[in-house]
Amino acid sequence: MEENRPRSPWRSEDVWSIWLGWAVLAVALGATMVASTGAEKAVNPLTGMLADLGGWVSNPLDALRDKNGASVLPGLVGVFASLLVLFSVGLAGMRERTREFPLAFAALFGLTVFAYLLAGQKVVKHLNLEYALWALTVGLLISNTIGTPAILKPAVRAEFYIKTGLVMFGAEVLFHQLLKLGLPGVFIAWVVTPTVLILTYLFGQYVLKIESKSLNLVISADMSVCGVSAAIATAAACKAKKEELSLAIGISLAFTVIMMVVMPPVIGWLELGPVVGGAWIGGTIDSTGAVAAAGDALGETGLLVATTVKMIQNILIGAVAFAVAMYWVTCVEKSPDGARPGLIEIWRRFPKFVLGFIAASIAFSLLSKSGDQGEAIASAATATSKTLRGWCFCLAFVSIGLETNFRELKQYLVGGKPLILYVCGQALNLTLTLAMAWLMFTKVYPNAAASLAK
Amino acid sequence: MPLPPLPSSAMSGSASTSEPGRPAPGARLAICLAAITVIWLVILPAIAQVSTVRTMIDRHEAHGVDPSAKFYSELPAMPMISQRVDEIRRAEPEAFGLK
Repeated sequence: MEENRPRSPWRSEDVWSIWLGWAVLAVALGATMVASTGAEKAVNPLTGMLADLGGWVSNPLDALRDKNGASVLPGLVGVFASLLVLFSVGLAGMRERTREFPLAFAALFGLTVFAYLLAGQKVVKHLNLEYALWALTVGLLISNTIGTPAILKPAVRAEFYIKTGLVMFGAEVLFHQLLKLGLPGVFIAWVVTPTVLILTYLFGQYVLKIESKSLNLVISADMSVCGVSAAIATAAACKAKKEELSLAIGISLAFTVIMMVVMPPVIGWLELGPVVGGAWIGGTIDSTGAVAAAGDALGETGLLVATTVKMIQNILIGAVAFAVAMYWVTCVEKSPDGARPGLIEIWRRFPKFVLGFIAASIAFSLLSKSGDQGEAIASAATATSKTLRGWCFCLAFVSIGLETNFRELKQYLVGGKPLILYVCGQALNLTLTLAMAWLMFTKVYPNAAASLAK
Repeated sequence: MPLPPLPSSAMSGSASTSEPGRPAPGARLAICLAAITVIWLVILPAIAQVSTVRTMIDRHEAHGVDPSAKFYSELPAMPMISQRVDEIRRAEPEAFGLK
């Protein structure tokens, strides 16, 4: 029977997510290069065709206008049409049914707009309660009350949206930013962070004895690297269950809000100053936006140091995704006889979309590193992919919510192990990052701290 | 991220059937939506008018800080910060351990 035949790798979701992600990047890059020829600065003609919802305080209709007062409706239509075409082509390429997809996708997109609307309320937004949380909530509310309507199901493709979004996301992971803050930045973000990730994972495995290695890995990565983005990349790389990703993100967002509020006064009380304090914030608070908000509370230097350390840490996401995928296929997914898989088997199991993500990252890093013009073109081109990948992730989180049952989530909370893992890992993170920031900026490179504080 | 095999009822939300002592599924959804409406249209706008919250939001917006950003590329202030850090590092590369 057709169903029993192994699917050709060329028709797999992994491969199609690469084609779709690269297609978006190639179109955006091509359009930017053509439009920028002879122009004074880089121009992306596609930017105006796509939009996110704006912010609002008391009238949700204000979200339909951007900062300049222009309507975002044409941009929303552009996003809907682009993603509908993109994923319809993907499904057709994978030889899957596409007839019911447009209607289902339209309904799912409507829920995604609603989630974005909830996230756009300014109090919510400025407390770092980002759209991932509201997208999950919207999906969970439906699936746990009336159940997911059959009309939505053909479009509930969380993994496909995540993988495609991640390939586009690769263009924003620019490796050459690693030395932005010189060696102090490398030691704080690239030495402490992997150390914390590995030690937290080992603590979860050998001390807490968490049954699910993927849950352990996703929590360890989102706590040590950069919150939601790292959780998405790691969960996809280690094939974590959807409930595990939801749980990791929920814990991370809750602690991020607390740390964003508590850390600035603690830094003031400890008299660490904006450089060491900013580096401490940048290396420990999960979410980039929350890092900026907490760093800003320390003043201009605090904002400068915190966001730069976080940016260097953000870049780790590519290396972490690759390392996790390799670890997973070589050490965790053993053969039935317990033997380590051979090279061909590793290649067969390896989540190929990670290679698409890394390739996009390398290509855009090289372009951005090639000079001012290259940097401007890369930056303008990624405006398109940035908008689309945000919508892809939001569609994915609504889909995850629609597929998740509260009872399934409850089983992961038994004994509070995920929470203990996060708290212990974050305690280690806080200790090691503070020690490294203090060592780097007061003992090893004090002149760097003086330059930044000027 | 494959899901483990689940009963079809779980995949489509096991709470979709009425249970004794609990409101009907449609009523539960309506209650949730009503709660969302009250929170987002009444409570949160009222919180936004509190002077400390208003000051925080204004300060973030003035400094290009978007606390909901998930990656550095989503921060409005990042290009400016990046340029400033480049200037500082290039002025004294030795201070940062670079030649």
